[in-house]
Amino acid sequence: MIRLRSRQFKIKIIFFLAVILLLSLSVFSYLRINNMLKSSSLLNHTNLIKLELVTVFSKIKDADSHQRGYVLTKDNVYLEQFQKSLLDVGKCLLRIDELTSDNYSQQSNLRKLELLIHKRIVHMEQIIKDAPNMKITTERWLEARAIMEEIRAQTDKMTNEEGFLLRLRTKSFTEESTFTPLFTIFLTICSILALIAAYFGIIGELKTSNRLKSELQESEKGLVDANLFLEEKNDSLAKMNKELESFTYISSHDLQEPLRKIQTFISRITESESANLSENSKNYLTRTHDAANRMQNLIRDLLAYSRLNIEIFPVETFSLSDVVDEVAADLDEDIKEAKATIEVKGIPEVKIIVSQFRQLLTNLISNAIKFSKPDNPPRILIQNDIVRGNEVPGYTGEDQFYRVKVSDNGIGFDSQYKNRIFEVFQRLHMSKEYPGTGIGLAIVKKIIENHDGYITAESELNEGATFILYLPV
Amino acid sequence: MQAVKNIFLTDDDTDDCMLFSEALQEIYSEKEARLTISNDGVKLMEVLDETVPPPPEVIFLDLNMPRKNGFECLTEIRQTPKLSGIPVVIFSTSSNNDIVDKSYQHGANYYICKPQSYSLLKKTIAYVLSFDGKKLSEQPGRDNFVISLA
Repeated sequence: MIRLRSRQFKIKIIFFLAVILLLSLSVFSYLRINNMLKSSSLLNHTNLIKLELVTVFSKIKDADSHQRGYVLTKDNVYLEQFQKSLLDVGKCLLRIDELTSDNYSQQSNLRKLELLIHKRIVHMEQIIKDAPNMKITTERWLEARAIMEEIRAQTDKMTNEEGFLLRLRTKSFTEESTFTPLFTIFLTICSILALIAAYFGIIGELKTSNRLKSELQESEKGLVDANLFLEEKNDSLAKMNKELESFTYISSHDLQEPLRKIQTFISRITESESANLSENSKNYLTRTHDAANRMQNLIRDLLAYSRLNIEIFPVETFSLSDVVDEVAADLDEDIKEAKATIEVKGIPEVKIIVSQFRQLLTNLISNAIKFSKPDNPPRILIQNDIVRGNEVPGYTGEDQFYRVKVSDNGIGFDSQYKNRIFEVFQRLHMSKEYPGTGIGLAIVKKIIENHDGYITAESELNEGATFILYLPV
Repeated sequence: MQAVKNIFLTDDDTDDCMLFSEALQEIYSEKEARLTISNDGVKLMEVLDETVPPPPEVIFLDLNMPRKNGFECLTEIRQTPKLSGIPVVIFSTSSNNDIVDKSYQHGANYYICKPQSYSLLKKTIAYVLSFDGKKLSEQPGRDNFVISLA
């Protein structure tokens, strides 16, 4: 993820760079074009001034030749032409004045030129005036020529200055813009590189995202498949479990039949044929009878255990002391014989599957009586409280639970066995000392599981035992 | 002098039939009681069809039998007008509450869970047969439905 994010960041940076490069590229291009436009307009301007200067000079020359024509021919046509040329000269000077209005030095040059031209025109007009009356002397012509030279020198000076200015300006522009093309090319290459980098970045990103997408789809598909597989497995497991349960039920049920026969026939022999039997035979028969009875109990308990899965009834709120009373009534004989006392304390009601909870209490109380210390009448205390979910071992939720503690003052057991005692057929004592099937506490645990509850046991050897039941409120 | 008790037993298990018959013989002489044994439900219905009237004193009926089981027989007996008044005592291995409830609902009069000793069997049979006709033909409350002698 981090790699992905940094890649996206890179692409952003690249695009940002490309945008900056392109922007500067356009700014430089704009400046360059602007400079070119400026220098071309400067060139234009200079050329215009030069042209006007040439025109002025040629117009004066025109005027000069018309004046000469008039002096030679005394024809008024030349005079008209002469006047016209003078007008053109004036116009030309006006235009030059306009064109050089922003240049002080050219303006002053222009003033000088105007003075010279004025001098020349005055000279020419004097000649035209004098021509009909006298011969024009060579000195005067030489003087005219000298003025013309001065004018030419002045226009040349102006032309040169204009050319110099042009070169100066053009030079500064070219200096400004010589590095522009290189820089532009550099910027262009940079932006192209940036764009290429961005292109590859994006392509890479797209590939990654496509790959991730297809991987995701694949793993989704895998998950769906796995889910289907699990569901199938679950179904078949549930089916197998059901079959197993009914197998246990049916087999233990059917096992009762031949066993009952054995018991009945043994009882038949011991009752009616006892006179004909040797002491040995009687002894064997008694042992057989005991064995058959043990098997009977085993089958009965197994049957009860397997039936717990089949007969699950709804939970109802019920008085704890009422159930205890019912159980005490059932166990009346044992209780009286052992001089046991049962005390119920705490919250009066619990939420239970009544028939199963009765069985559970029967097992716990008869255990308490069975595993009592010799010469120490069993005292059984049943205490009911409500506790929060976090006090329930093995539970992680928030719901409240009834905590029913069933404690006795019997022989207890080593706490290392506290989980093993709930397993089927696990016994801690020899059958002779404490007869039993090893199913009683397994039944208790199963019943608690049917209630969605939890059970733990606490004990120390010879310190009594406490069974703690947690039942959902 | 009391009339001969006509008692029917229907059970596919020949051992049980033998034990039952021996026990009955020890309680009543041949003149006092006569036992008719059928080994499945179909045979029971045939015998009933042939011999009734007069109806038997009581029918001891096993539940788990081939061809026609005890529940089917019970239903059929209760639905046949000439048989419907005959007391039926279920005589089964099972002590499963479901089965007991079902028998009660089908209209059986009493329920005996086959005892584990001969003496107990004899006691139980004697106890049931000691009921007078009226007590036997009435269905008791559910609590007294199962006959269980210690």
